[in-house]
Amino acid sequence: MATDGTALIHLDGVTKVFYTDEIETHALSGIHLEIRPGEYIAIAGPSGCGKSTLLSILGLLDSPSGGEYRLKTQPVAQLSLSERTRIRNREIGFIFQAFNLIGDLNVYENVELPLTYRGMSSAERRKRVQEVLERVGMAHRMKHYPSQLSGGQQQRVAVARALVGQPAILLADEPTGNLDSKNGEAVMELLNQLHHEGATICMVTHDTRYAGCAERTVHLFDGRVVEETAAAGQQAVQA
Amino acid sequence: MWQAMAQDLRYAARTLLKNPGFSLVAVLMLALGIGANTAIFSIVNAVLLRPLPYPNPDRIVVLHETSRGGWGSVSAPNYLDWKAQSSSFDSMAVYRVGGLNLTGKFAPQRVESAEVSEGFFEAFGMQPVAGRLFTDQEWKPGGPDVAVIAEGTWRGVFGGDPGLIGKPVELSGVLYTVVGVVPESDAYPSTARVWLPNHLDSPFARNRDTHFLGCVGRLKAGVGVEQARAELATIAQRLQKQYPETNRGRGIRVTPMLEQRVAYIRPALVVLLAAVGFVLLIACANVANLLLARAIGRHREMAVRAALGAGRRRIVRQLLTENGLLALLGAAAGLALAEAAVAGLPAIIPRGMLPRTGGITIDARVLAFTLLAGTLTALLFGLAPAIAAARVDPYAGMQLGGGRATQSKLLARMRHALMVTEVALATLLLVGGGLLIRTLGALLHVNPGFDAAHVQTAEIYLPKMTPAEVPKNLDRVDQITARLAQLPGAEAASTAALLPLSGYNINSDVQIEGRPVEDVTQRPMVEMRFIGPQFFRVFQIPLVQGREFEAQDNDRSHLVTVINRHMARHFWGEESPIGRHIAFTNVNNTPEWMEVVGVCNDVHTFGLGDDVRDEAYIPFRQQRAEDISYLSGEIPVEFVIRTKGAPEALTSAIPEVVKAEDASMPVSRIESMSALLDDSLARQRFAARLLGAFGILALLLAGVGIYAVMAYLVTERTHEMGVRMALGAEPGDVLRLVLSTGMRLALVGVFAGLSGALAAGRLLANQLFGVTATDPATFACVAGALAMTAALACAIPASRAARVAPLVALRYE
Repeated sequence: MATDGTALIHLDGVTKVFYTDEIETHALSGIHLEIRPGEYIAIAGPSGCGKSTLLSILGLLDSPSGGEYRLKTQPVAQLSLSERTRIRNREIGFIFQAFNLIGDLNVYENVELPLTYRGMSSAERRKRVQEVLERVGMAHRMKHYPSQLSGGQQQRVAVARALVGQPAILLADEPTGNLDSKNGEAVMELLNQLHHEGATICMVTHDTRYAGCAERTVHLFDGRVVEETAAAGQQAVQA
Repeated sequence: MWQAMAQDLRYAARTLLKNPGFSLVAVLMLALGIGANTAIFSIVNAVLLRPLPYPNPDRIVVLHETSRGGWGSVSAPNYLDWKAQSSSFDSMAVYRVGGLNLTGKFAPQRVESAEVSEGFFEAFGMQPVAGRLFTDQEWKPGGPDVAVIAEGTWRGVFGGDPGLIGKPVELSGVLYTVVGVVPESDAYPSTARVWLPNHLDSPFARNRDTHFLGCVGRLKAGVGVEQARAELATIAQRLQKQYPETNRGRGIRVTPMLEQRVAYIRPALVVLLAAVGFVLLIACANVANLLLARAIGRHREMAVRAALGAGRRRIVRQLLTENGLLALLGAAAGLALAEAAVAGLPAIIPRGMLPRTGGITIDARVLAFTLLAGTLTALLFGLAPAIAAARVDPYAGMQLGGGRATQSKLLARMRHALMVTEVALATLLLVGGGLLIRTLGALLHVNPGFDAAHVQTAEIYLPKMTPAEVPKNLDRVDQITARLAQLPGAEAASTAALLPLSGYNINSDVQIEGRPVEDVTQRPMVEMRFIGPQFFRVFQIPLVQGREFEAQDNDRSHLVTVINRHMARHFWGEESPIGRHIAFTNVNNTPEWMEVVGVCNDVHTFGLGDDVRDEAYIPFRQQRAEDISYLSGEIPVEFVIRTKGAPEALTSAIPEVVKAEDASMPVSRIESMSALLDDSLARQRFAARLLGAFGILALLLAGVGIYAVMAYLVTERTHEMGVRMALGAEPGDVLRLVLSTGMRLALVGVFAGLSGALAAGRLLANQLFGVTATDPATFACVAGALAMTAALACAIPASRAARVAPLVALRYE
């Protein structure tokens, strides 16, 4: 894949090794990946292939053992914990498989949560939360608690929470993994819609049907990129 | 059924052994709570609940005369009228306590004694263990000198010699024939070891206005206390009419003896029992919290049991068996702790603070209490967690994470409620302890009105004497005083009939020169304090006006007095009382006028927390010989010596000085005035220490409880913390979140506790001095201490939460 200065995310030879007692596990080996602004990419592969490890590195939840990771051209290896937290809060929106909504907070408060860590005024927070809830079609459930919502609705709220900070990229970890097919498709439809509105999305999935929604799919196996495929009308790349 | 129970018990034992850490902590907490309760209950049992050691003890009553809203001793003529005119009693008797010097082929020793009137032993139903009680002949005036002694003295001093019966022993210089021995446990008054017949033939006994006798009675079978009260009220009214000069306004108070002996200490013991009950409740809350946390961990096990057909009741029973076993172990360990505490109690309970302390032991009633406490404890800490744990959906429970959220929420609410409760209880206890500590502090800051430092005191009792022998005996006292003043290290020496803060007093109605003579029942009362020359110098009590007593103020000179400032203000306002005269009525009802020659500063003679009363100091040598001859052997002579260095330096020299004057005269007590001052605060110090200790124990338990709840909360919410970190929360944000959650709960508890303390304040009000039950400083300090403890207890889980890696957000159970 050609490298140019416009890449939002640039991974060059990224490796991740886990050490358990005396056992060395290579979760990722020499990953090269670029994600451009506005791109919708899927990372696919069987269980244990390193998808989630890659996502955690992309989301600055974990650090690579080797190689280079640049976000918006800035190398992230030397960032302090505090700077990583700030970037995570402002540049990255997470959508988790298990929704990870906080049970004690209502829908509004869950979506507002990332903004509270920015020191944003409450008026601004309210405006943004209302906008984003309307965008995902959950404004009418603002006062509800997660336990009062269906799985599909919870994931919509989780998407709203990921969007509210206006991040540079949405990272979705198996976003349909906890949903039935009908709700799963609805969430995928929502992601498609967001993509068409300009959002950059990186989604981890093991479901080839949903991977097909992305413009490009990176296939991982044993911690390596073994194939890249493009959706119809896109250019396919063989790793 | 029994088989199932045995199975439950086996499984419960296995479960507890499988989690030794949990079991040990839970048993330890319960042991502390149950042990402390058992120890305090053993005091309550011995003091308040144990029946008196006499046959039909509920029929024994104590009688007092009432006057001017108070009650006190009885005059002999009134007693004789009560006895003659009442029909409610099987027997009624009077007594007066005193002390005698027991001498013989052993070192002289002081024994407490009681001169008792006919019917005394019958009132208690006492039976001799050797010999006999007094005969009719011996009760009569002019009868032989006979004595009944206590079994302890018989065995301890005379080796239990049966041959002692019928033989004489020397008591304060007089030979008394021992006629019988009574069990020591029956002793009344409890400190008495020798009983002599009281013939009621002294001049005092003929005076209806001299009230100096204790009175007891045994009600006839079937006669209630109320019935006796009604009868005696009628008699009192009759006597008022018959003797208006002495009996106007005088009534009769009838109180069951047990009530009379323990009523004053009951509120303090109830507060103590409540305090230690709170400690147990806090321990229960902690154990309940541990069980609730464990219930989450055992959720799947319960689901499996439910899926296999166990009903909710069956699961609750299984869990209650486990909790019951825990409580049983806690009770057993608590009983062991209580045994040790009870053994150590005599050393920590201040002398004379509690009646009937000899019976403090772990008896059947205490054991039953421990068993009850253990059972209630098991229900208290075990029932809610058991029911909550049994509310399990067998299907959802076996799914990964399924059903747990709902159950967690319920259990979390329970844990939070328990945490709030224990913080509230700890707050209540700390406020109580704090108020008592502030009371003690306030008392320690009270200026007693004298300088206790560098004052040594020694007590002797003069032998019984005739009026003719009085001057000779008082000369001996003067000679001893003069020799004490010459001791190396002594600056001055004096004498007194009673020491300040001794707890004893002598008072009398007084007439004031130039004022109309009021009826005796309406005259003001003034405390009388008999002292020798140099007394004010020894105690450094400043004279405001006039002079101190001198050696020439004796039985040959005109009568003089020094009054305290309080009395001077009371009767003369801003005018000088010097040269004025006051009169106390003597035994013949004749006023004896004395000139006020000085005014001294006020002294807190009754207690540092008690109000100063009108006091008149009278020269020791101006007491009437008739009075002394009757009172000798009962009112002690106190020597007081001002020393240049430590008062204790004179401790060994004082008995030598006394012995040189009279080898048969024991020094019954030598103690520095500072120690006596300390002793006067022993009750307050004991209460403050005990309640303070319970408060600190409660604080520690509450701290542990808060820590346990917050630690569990962090463990339970680790994933949420990870999600928050993933969404951009800084470690500080998470730290604040956990701290604020814990502090919010703790502050709710503190608020509830302070509200409770406001409401319960009146229970302590009568034990406070210099501080109100709503003292803002105490409340603020307690709130601060609880808040700090809560912050510390939350800090460790909070810092652990702040270290949660955001990566856990990606983990899915």
